[in-house]
Amino acid sequence: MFDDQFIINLIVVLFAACSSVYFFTRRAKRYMQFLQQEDYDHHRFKKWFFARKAYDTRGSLVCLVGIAGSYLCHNYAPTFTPYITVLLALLLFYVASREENPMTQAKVSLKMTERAKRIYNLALCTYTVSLGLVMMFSFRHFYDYVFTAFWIKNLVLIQFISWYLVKSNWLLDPYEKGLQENFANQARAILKDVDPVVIGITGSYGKTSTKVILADILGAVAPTFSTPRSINSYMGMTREIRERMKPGQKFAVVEMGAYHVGSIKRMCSLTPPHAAIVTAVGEMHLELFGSPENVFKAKSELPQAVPEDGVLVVNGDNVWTRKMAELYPKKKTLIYGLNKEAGPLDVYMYDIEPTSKGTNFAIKIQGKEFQGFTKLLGEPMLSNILASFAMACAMGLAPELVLAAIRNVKTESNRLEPVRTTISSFIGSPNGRPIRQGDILRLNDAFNSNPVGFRAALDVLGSQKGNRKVLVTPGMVELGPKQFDENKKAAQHAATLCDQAIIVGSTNKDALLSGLKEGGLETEKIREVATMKEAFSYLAYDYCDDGDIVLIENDLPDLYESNPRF
Amino acid sequence: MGTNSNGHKRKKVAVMFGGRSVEHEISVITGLQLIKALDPIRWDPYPVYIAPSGKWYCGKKLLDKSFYLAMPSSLSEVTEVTLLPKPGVGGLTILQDPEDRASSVIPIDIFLPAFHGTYGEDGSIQGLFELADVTYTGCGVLGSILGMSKYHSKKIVEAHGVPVLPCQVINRESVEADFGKHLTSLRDQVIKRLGNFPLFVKPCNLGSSIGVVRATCEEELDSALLHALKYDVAAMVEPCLDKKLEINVSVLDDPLEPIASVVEIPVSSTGKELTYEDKYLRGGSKKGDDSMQGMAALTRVIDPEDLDPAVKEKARSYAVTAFKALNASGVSRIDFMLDTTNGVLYFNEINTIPGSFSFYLWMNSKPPVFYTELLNRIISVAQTKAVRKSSVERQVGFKALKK
Repeated sequence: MFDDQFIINLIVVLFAACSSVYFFTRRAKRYMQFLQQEDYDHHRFKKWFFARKAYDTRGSLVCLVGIAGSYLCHNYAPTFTPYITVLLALLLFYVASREENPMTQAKVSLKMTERAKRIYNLALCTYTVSLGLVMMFSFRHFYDYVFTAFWIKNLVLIQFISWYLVKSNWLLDPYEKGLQENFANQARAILKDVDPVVIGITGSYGKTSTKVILADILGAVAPTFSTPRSINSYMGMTREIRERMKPGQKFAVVEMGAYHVGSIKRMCSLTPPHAAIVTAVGEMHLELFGSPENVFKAKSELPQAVPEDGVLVVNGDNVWTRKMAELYPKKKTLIYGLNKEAGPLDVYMYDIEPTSKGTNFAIKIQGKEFQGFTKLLGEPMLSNILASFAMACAMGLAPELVLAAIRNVKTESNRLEPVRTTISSFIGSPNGRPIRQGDILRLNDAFNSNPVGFRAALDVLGSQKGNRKVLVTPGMVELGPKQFDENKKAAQHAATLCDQAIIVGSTNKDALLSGLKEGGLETEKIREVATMKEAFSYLAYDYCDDGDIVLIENDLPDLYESNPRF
Repeated sequence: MGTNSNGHKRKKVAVMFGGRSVEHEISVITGLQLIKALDPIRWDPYPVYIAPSGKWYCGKKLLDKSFYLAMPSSLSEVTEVTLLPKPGVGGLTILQDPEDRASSVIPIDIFLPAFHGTYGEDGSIQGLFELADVTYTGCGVLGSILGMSKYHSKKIVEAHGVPVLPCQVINRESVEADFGKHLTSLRDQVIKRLGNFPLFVKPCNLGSSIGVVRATCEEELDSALLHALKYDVAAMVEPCLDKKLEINVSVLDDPLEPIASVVEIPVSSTGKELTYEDKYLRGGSKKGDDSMQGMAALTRVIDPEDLDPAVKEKARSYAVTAFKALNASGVSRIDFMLDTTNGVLYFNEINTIPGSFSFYLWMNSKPPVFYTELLNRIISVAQTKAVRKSSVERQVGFKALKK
C-alpha cells in the first residue's frame, strides 16, 4: 500500500496543509482585530462580518484554481498533479505573507492580550486538527482524486476561519467569565481599602468629557482616580482599578457605559457610587436598546444606586434626565442647564459668548453669580462643564477654584477644541505636491458623534470667523433605524454653512450626499474619500488656504471606516 | 570592547537616559546623540534606559530610535537591570526571575547621566550613585538639588551678588487645604508682594517650559497657579519684564577655574516666551538628522554681533559665579534675562544637565570645544572627583559601642 507514489502524495498534501496553516496564522489575526474591536461579542462580530461581506476571496481563489487544476490534470496528465498542488501551496504561502499585519497597520491595532492569545491558540489548534482530519479523509475515501478533494476541503476551511475564532471565543467564554469575576473581586478589595468618594457618570453623550473635566477639577485639590480614554465597562474598570488605583486617592470619577439594561447596575456593584451625574438620555446606541424608554431604564440604574444621603446631578435640558431627579431624589439633588424654559434650574449657565479662543459665560448657583471662561466650544461641551461645576461645588470645592480649573481644562483631545495650527498639521500620505502654506483653525470633534453634538459642532463652525469653512465627516453610527435620516438632517444643516464637505468612507455616504445636495451644496464642493487619511491628504496638498476653518466631526474606528478585503 | 591602539583598556561608560520625568523624550534624544559623539578610542558606550515606569533596561536595541516607538512590546527585547545601593558591585546587576538565582553583573566603569528633570537631574539618582560608590559625571547631590529648585538656586546666586527677580512661592498644600477655599487669598498675597500684571507662573522644580503660564489678570493667575501645581508641588510667581531678552551661557568644569562658552539668544516662534514646542519640536532639522534634534534643533542666534560686548562679558562672568555658588560640576547651562529697558541682567535658572549638553555653544566658542572633546573633559573631571573622594576617610571603626 505504501508505494512511492503514496509517499510523494502524502508529502505534497502535508506541504499544502502547512501553507493552509500559515494562511490561518495571518488571516485569523486580521479577523481577531475586529472581534476585539467588537469587545469579543460574537453577535456584534457576526453582524459586522455579514454587513462587510468579510468572506475570504484571496485564499479561496487559490483553492478554486487548485480544485480545477488538480481535477483537469488528473484526467489529462496525471503525473503532473502533485506539482500543481506544490505550486499552489507556494502561491498560498505568498498570498498569506502579503496579508496586512493588524498589530501595526491599523488605526485601532490588534493587541495580543492574554485573552486574544487564548482564543487564537485554541482556534489554531482546532483548525490544524480539522485539517488533519480532512487529509485523512481525502486519502481514505478519495485517494484517486486526493488533491482535488484536499483543495475542496481546504476551501471550506479557509472560508470558516472566522467561525473557528468565534467558536473558540464561545468555548472559552465560561473560563473568561470566571477569570473576570476573580479580577473584579480583587478590584473591589482595592477600592474598599482606598475608600475614595466614588462619583459615577453616565449619559448617552458627554460622559467621557464630563469625566475628564471633573477629574481635572477635583485633581487640583486632592489626588483623584479616573479612567483614561472612554473606558467605561465592567472589565475595563476592573483592570484600571487593579493597575492604577493608589492609596490616598480621595475621589474616584468613573464613567459607566450602558450596553444593555443591567450593565450599569453591574458596574455599580463594582464601584458603588456616592454621587452621580447623568448627562443625557438620547438617541445614541438605539441599536443596542430598541427604544428611548429602555435607554432611560438602563441609565436610571445609576441614580438608583446612589444612597439617600448622596448627591445627584442631572441635566435639566433633557426631559428624561429631569425625570430622574423627580423619581430618585437624594439629599442633595442639583439640576443644571442652559435653558430656563424646560423648568427650574439649580445651576444655570447664561450670557454665553463664543470667541475664537473659547467661550465666556456666567453661572448662577444658589443665588450667587460667577463669571467664567473656557477654551472649549459648543453647547454640549458647556453643558458638560456645567455638570462638572455643579458636582465639584456639591463636593465642597470653592467655586472660584472650580472656575480657575475650568479655565485650564483641555479635553483629552478631539472634543471640539479650537486649535490654531498650520496646514501641515494634517498628516496625510504625500502625493508629490508640496504641502500648502498657511494657518488654519482646526475644530476637532472627532469622537463618537451624535445628532445633538453634530448640530452644535456645525453651529460652532458657523459662528467662527474665517476664510472658507470645511466639514470632514464619516457621519454618525449606532443610531438604529434613524441613522439615515439623522445623517441626512445633519448634512442638510451643514450644507447651509459649509464651503466644502468631505465625506469619509461608505457607511453614511448616501445619507450625507443626499442631505448635502438637498441643502443646496454644489456637487463640485462635495468630495468623497475612503479614509480620514485621504481626507487629510486632500486638505494638506490640494485644498487648504490661510484662514480656513476645518471641522472634523466624528472619527470612526476601522470597523466602520475601512472596507477591508480578505 | 577590549583594548585600544595604545594598549589601554577602553572604559565602559553607561550612558543613562529616559527617566520618570516630563522631559523623558528629550532625554532620550540627548542620550542617543551623546553616544554617537563619544570618543570610540577611549570609551565603550553602553546605553541604559529608564522607562517612564521607572524600570531600568540595557541592550543594544536601545540605540535604535524605533525601539521607543514600539514600546511597550519592544521592552521584551532588552534586559532589565538595576544599580544596587551598595559599594563594590562593579556595575549594573541583571534582574532575573526569582527561580534563576544566578544574577550577574554587567561591569561599568563610569556612569554618565543624561536625564532632564525629575529623578535624574534633581539629585535622586546622584544619591544612588553615591550609595553605590561609583564614578559619575556632572553635579553631585547638592549641586543637582540646588539646580533643580528655581527658588533655592535664585536665593544662593543672589547671595553671591548676581541680580535676580523677586519671586513668591505657592505650595500645593496651601491650595489643597479646605478644598481650595484659600486660593483667592493666596493669589491676593502674590499680587501684593509682586505688584502689577503681567506675572509669570512656573512649576518650581521643572525645566522645558512645561507648566509655564503668563497671567495678565486675577482669574488668569488663579488658573495659572493650578496649572503649574499640576506638574509640581510648588509654583513660583515672578514679575514679567516688559522688554527682555533671554541670554544663555554654558559653563564647563576645569581644574583651575570653570570656563564659560559664548552666549546665545534663543528665538521664540511667537515673539513671546519659549514654549516646549519651540524648544523641541520646531527646529530646522531635517528628518533623520539626529545630530540636530532636541535642544540642538532650537532656532537661536549664537554669539550675536549686535549684542553689547559688555553684556556678553557680564553674562559669562555671572555664569561662572553661579556655577561655583551652586556647587555645579561637569557642564551646565545658565539662563539669564536681560531687561532691555535698563540693561540689568538677571539670573533666571541653571540646567545642570542641559539639553544636548550645550555642545552647540561649545563648538562655536573660542577656542572651539567639539562634542567629543567636551565629553572627554566631563568624564575626566568625574574621574578626578571620584579619586579625590576615595581619599576621604569614611570609617572610624567601632568605638562607641565598645564602651
